[in-house]
Amino acid sequence: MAWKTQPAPTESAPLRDGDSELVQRAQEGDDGALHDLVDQYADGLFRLAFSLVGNAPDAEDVVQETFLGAFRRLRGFEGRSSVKTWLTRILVRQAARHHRRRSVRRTVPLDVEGRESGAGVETGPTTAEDVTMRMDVEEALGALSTDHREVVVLREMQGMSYAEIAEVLDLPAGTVESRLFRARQHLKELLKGYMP
Amino acid sequence: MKTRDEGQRSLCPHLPQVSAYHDGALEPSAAQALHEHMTRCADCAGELARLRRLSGLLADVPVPAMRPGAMVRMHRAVAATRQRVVVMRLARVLSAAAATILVVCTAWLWVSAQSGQPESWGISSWEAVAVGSIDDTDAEALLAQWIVEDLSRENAHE
Repeated sequence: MAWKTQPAPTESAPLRDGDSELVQRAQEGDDGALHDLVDQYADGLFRLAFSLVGNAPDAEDVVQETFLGAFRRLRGFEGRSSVKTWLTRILVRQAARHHRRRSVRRTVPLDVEGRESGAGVETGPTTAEDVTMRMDVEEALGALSTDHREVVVLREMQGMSYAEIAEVLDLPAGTVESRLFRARQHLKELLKGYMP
Repeated sequence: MKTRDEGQRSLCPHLPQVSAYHDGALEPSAAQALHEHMTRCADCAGELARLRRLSGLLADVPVPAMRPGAMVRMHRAVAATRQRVVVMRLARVLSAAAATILVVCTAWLWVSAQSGQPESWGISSWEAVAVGSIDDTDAEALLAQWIVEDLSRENAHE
């Protein structure tokens, strides 16, 4: 397959110059830099975590664990990837670990908890059809395997390129493409009532 | 019912590429070729339409905001973890220093023992007297002296 050598244009925020400086300050023991990193990345990481785990309380826990895990290993960050990619990689692992723990604990579908949490949703649906459709999409997303949900969320909701997803998940780009293809096939099957 | 041939015909070999095309991940030449192919292939064109619909559905998935207080809790947790890290680092430094001192002292004692310096490390003279063996004759003399002194004190009281 003919691959682009450059990452596709994405909606993800580019690495700001100050990011590496913040991490460097944090590595040198500047506590303020740690809190600045939290302020800067918490919202974006929360959106990703919510898409992966399906409810706000668990997403907040995953984000918190992500920061704590990152800061414990701060000296290991060498700047080979962007701060965003580094944090995203940790978050995806934390979310997968969380999902495994929860799967063992109970078998409540992801969407049910999401609705029960009652967290403030940014854009409210306007019709009953919209509500049903969104619930069905959330349910379909929750029905995917962890591997498939990760690639779908990173591509469709985070707007990452295949190269970025490959870096985050530590996979070859070809695997990302094939996994994304299979995940979408599954999603289309689950949502066939909404397909043209 | 579809025959096997009909079923196979419905699966265009270019179908998997449509996903990468949809994501803008193909080289321009490959993307152009697939674009032209899709004008003739209903399967691939339909696949692209479904992928676009799917992306639209996923883009509409509502994302809530973090609950009030979540950021405060996160900052507190980070501060607490930072303190723990500092304490642990200090503990590691102190442990290393203690281990170093222990190793150095052990080595010093071992070297001293090997180099025949026990005289300088021998027990003090008063300890030698205290724990040293007393000649039997001396012991009898001391005992007799003690008895005499004791009797003298009693007589003095009377």
